[in-house]
Amino acid sequence: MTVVIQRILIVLFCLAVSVGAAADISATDYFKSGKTLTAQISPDGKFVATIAQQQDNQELVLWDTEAGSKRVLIDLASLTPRDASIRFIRWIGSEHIVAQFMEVKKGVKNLLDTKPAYRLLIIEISAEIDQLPKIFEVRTPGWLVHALPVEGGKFLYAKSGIHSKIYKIDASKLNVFKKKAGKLVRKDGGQFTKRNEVASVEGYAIRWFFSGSGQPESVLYFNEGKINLSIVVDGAAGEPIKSWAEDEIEEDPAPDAKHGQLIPIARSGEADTYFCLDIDAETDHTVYKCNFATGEESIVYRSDGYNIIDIILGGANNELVGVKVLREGKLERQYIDGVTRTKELAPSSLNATIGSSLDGSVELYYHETHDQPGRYGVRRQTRSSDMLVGSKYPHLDGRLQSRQYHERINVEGLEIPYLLTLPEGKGPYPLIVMPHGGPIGVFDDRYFDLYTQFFVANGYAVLRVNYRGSSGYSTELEEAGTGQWGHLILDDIYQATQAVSKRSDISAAKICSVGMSYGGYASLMMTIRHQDLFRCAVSVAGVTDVNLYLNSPYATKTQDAWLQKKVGDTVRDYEALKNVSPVYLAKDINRPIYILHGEEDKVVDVEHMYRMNLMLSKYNKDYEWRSFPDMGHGPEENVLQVEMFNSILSFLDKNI
Amino acid sequence: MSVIVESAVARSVVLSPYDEPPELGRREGYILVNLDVGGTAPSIDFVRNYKVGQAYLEGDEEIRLSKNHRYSVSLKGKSKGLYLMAMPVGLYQITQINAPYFNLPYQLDTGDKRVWRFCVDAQKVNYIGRLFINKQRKSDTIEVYLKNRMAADLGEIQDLLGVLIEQYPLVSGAGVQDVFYREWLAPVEVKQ
Repeated sequence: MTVVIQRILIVLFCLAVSVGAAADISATDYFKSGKTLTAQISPDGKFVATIAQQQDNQELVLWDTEAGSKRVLIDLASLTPRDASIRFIRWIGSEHIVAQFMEVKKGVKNLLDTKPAYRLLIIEISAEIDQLPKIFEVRTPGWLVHALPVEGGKFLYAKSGIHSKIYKIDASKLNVFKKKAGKLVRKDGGQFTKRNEVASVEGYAIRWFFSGSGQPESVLYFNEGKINLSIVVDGAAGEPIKSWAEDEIEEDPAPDAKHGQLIPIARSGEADTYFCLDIDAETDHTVYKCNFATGEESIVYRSDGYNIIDIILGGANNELVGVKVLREGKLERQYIDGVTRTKELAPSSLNATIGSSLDGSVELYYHETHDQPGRYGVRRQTRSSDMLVGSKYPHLDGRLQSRQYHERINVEGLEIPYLLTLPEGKGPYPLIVMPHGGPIGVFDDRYFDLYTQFFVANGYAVLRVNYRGSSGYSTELEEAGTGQWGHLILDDIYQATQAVSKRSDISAAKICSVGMSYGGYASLMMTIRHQDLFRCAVSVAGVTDVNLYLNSPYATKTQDAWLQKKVGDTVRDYEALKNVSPVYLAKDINRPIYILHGEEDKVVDVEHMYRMNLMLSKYNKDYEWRSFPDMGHGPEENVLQVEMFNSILSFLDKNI
Repeated sequence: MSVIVESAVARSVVLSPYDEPPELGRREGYILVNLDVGGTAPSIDFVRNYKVGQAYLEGDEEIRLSKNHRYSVSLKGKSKGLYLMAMPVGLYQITQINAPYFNLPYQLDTGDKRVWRFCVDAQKVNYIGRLFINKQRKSDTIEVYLKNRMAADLGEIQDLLGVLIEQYPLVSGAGVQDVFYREWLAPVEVKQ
């Protein structure tokens, strides 16, 4: 009898394990904070410093790559009661970390004179694990320009003004952080003197460029109404090798120009060559390589749609390893795949070496796949296994498994790429079509996508179409999106869906569209035009009245002109734009609709949701709606993501 | 698009609370605005288009502002909510937003932006939008918008101005073409 009970218990246990392994991941479990924002390796390879983002706080964490241990060096909450963050970290030698610390100082009543107060902190690493690190600060306004990795504890610091200069600063002579200095203590150890001057230029320096060893090579600066780029010889800037006049910078680029003025932001490893951004671009999605001596230029990277605000260089030869982008108001790092993918069906794997010890024996790398969020790891030549030092979503590490296909379909003579992600197994799976926002100049990449993986983890297949207008593939594909807002872009999405619906692992009778912004618009249009294929639609922050969107109160003059060119003119094309607006097609909707919008959305005003709501109500349609009082153009906070995706899942479960 | 405006002294006009509508002349209509403004003494300046009888501009038409129809309205101390004002019919351009904060002046020129227009139809309540001037500001910039929130504000308008809009029908007073409210009001076609 006991044996029988034991066997029953074993069977029940096995069942419980298998059900648990296959169980969906709830939004509460999936959307969590606690991620690593960046990592930097010390010049000797012994340590890696990381910035870990907790719920409302950041920590500077030190990993000992030899011992495999870690300790928190700084907990920002213990440094200041204000909102604070670390913008970047660098090693200066192997015993000091420089951290750009920022705290928000609120202005007087009603005058939100935003004062992000920046301080450069220098943290001295103690050999004793239990000992708190010594923290020094630079009080003179300016910025770190070079970390001088080979000169332990020293770095180059720039001050800009009518005359701009670089100084070599010794960390050990600086004042202790937040310690009130006596009358006899000199500010910053009295180091901002002629004796420590390394280079200078007449004018306001914007960027200094260096050789690998820390020698100033050139400088970008304002002087007499011009931005100049000059070579630095023996610490002094020479005649400009390139100048941009004020009117040249302010003028809009010619309509047929490929881009606006390209301004250098970093030296590349090649002679006379710089990485550049387009100063005229409303949003910087592209990194160029420019040689101002020969006039040659080429595109080296395009982000998937977020504004690039800086680039990340690595390796001895100043290679581009990533970019810093502004994603929903937050600074995020995107790394660039070091391996060129040649096959469409190759695994979606991103591998980037983002730093190494000076002798090359220890490497810090970033690895990400379509179902594994990005992770930072350390590889030592002398060890067979790597050490994990950080993850973008640590709670999801190893928990997601899916298949991803990269296919193309020909629509009206144009190859349209798409990504299909499926749960492991035979299916058939219900399908969510998830058109990206934009629609022009944005694309879905093949790496980890938080929202795609959430749906896949909950048993859905997800189709993302890089329809015409998408960037990231070819100029032809991107340019083909002009004037196709409510036309061929929608055909691309529909035809890719049709093709995918024929697969045996897809349940053709269970297809819904879920999208944000333009994706929300496209989702509504799919149910309006193709209700035979789409059973329901979810529109988050979706455009519902195209003329209203083009008459946005938030658009700048440049955005206005760009939208007029790419989408249409509300005066000339009013009727045509009205005819592709879901608000005026609501009577044709015969599928359940869910519309969600943030009241604080400054991209697509919440009025779009209210208009759709009134029209759907007028025609007595089957729909749900929800507004989020504190949300902008998308759910940034975990709590909003949980709320929103729980409600979307529940809607899909009911209606797909 | 260029803006032609001739100088003249602006006439001060006053916004009334929604429950105290001013008298309406024969060739006048109400403008209805939902205010959400902050600061010490905000005000707006606006000018009527020279050509009367137009709700919005067509094609490449330029706005031509009349020197005899320049107005200024103070928003000082106005609490959040709906306000009315009787104005002669026509298309208007808000040309300037003034949002000083004690000794920090701030002026935003809006004369060349189409979204800063509104139109007045005679014997109607013309909803021109939600005028937002952020209470919190930086020393050199400020958030200022005229948002077309016809659908979002409709419930509040119907609740608070129900009697008035029975007598003077509610219409969109946006200074750009916007047929949403008219289409929403149109009867539902019933299939036979």
